[in-house]
Amino acid sequence: MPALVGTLALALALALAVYGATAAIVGARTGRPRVVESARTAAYSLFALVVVANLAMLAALLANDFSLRYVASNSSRATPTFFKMLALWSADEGSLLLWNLVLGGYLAAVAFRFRHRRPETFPWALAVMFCISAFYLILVLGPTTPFATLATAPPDGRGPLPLLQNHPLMAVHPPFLYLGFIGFTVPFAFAIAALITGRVSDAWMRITRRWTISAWIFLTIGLVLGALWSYSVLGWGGYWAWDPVENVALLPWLMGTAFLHSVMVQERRGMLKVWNLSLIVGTFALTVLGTFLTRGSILASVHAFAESIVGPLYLAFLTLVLLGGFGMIAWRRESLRAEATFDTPLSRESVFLGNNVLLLVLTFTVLVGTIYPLLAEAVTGGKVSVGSPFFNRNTAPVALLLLFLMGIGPLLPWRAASPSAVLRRLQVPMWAAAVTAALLALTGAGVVAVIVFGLAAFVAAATVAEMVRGVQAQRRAHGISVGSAIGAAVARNHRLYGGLVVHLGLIVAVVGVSWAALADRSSEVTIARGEIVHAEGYDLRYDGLTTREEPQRRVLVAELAVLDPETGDEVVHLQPSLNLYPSASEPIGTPSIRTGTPFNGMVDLYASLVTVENDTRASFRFFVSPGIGLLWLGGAVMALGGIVAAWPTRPRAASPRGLEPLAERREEVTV
Amino acid sequence: MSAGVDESNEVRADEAVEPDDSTRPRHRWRTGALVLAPLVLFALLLATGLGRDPRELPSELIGQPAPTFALPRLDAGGTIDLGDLHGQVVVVNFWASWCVPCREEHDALAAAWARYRERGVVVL
Repeated sequence: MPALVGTLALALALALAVYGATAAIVGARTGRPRVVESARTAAYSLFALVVVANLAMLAALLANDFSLRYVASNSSRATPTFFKMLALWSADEGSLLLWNLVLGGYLAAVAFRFRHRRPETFPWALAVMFCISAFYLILVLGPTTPFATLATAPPDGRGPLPLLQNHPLMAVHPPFLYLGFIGFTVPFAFAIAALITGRVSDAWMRITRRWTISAWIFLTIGLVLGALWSYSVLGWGGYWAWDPVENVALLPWLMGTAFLHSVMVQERRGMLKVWNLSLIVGTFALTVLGTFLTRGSILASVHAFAESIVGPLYLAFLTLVLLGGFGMIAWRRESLRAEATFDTPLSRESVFLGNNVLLLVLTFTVLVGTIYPLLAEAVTGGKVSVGSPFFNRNTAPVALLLLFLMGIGPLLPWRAASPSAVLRRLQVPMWAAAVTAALLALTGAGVVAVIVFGLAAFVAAATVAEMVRGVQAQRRAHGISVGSAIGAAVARNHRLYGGLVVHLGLIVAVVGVSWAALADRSSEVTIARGEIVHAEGYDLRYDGLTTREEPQRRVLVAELAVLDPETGDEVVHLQPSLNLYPSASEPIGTPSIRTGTPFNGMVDLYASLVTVENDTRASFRFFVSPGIGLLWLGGAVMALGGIVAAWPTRPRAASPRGLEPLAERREEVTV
Repeated sequence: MSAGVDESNEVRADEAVEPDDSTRPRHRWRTGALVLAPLVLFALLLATGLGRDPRELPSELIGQPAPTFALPRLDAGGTIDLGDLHGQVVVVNFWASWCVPCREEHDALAAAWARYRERGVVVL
């Protein structure tokens, strides 16, 4: 029954996608609003049908309907209900259902958002989204078959991959990542629509600004949650391994970040038009590349879904996106001339350009490192793998340079800055950097630490000073309290303040990452029961093993006391465990973490259980990692800043932006 | 470099007189080809990855003599040395008492050994 409902819903959704694309194009060409209206309705219906398909799978998972092959391979009677629901996206076919759900959701949201006021590009953008949706619907109807049935239903299923049923973060990491990935479809669709109609002014960008920021926020959260999952589940003490699939999720984030900055240059100065269109086509293409590499069995990765036959289809789609997108930009380039040129290197647009170049260098570096094994194998036939040293060495200097530009960018005005004014604004950040660097040098920190944290202090001070300046201006102008001045400043230019908050979040994250990279320590210790072993500045005592039987697994919990070597007091009691799943040949560990807070110096104490010998001895990996908590905090602050920047403002005659120069160019701003 | 600058100046002059885009199709095709050629190459590179198993890692040890080891026997006293079995077909299975699939494959391995033991196959 679920198989029939699901397949039928998907087939109908595909028919609607084809109809919607046709109707939108016909409506656009003939200018008949009623035809476009029917395309909009088709978008709603398509979304409803994809919801039905997902619910059918969910119902089958919850009802232990093992006649469905997907349910039999990815769930079992003993699987807890929560993880049964997550099984919806814990394998290739199911996650494609989720993909279709999110894409259908965006399609319906676009149809809803432009229900009253329809820009000229709208029907074409809708058509592009219908086409993309059709592609992903074809994938779940033919090459992969989530609703395939088995001739005889097995009495029980195999259960989800043990790694994927070991932590609740699996509930949120994939959906956020998908919301981010797929969200870039909207600006891409409007960009293509602009290229098709030849209305390549700035309208497509303004229309999609908040869609792009939303996608970026989701992707940021998805990436941070992925890192958090890796840190809390895998037990290796790290959070980012430069795994190909992590990389391909980072790539659109990097290029999307470049896009978010360079669109501001086009809005203000009418420059970089080809550049912006290329960036959004590139960002979308990178999301498709990510899907291709992950699902097309191209690169070995912990995320790769094996035995997929859809590789050639993804590649054809990717090629179409690349050739179509960039081909159309080349075709329209005559009408994409810049309206202005760069006046001086000392201006905000120049810094934005520098930021873009650096972000693209980062994108390119990560891309090369990720597909280099493919290149090497194509040329020499040998197997090569590119690991962390390559990425760390090549990205860190570029990232630091980027950080520097992030500090000075907001201080510079548009067009041209007077050097003396810039120097005046740089005073506070320079002092902050100098004091931080001097303090660190006095405490005996290494050169790298002095440079990195000095730079971070510079950027943080510059960012905070910029915020304070705006708030003080409000106070002076209106004679109001600090609290209401903050509110007024943010309301007046929420994009600027949102952006500055994102910058602050990024600095916090960078400080955390650098601190952990420079100062984390680890050792592997084997301890007999009751014995005390000294490791990394702490005394560790193994207090024995307890076994917990759960329906789907057996859990071996080791009791590990972390003691202060001076006083002998217990600092924390950690309980790393090993989980034995019947379907897994190796035990899956669950590390135990004492999270760093400002009260304990932001130091994470992290233990994972490696092996146990009955109750007598156990081996642990013990990590002392300062600063990692700042990464999660920074990610949260970035998401918050993004929300502030994307917060809807009512377009009013006395819009806050009207106070800024070049207001005449902003008349068509409606988002 | 200078040729490129000249050309762009010329383009602008053209524009001023005749803004219609379709007047210089050759120029447009050249740019198009310049943009698209690297993309096609990129797609071709990705295509080489299709149909390969990325997990298939050819081991450096294939064709080499097995590294020898000596470990205590579980079924009897003494140790067993792989070097002593040189020239025989040896199946080495790594397993652990807590490993459920190892237990499941145990019967199959024992049966295989029973079948091939006359031909000199040793299972460890």
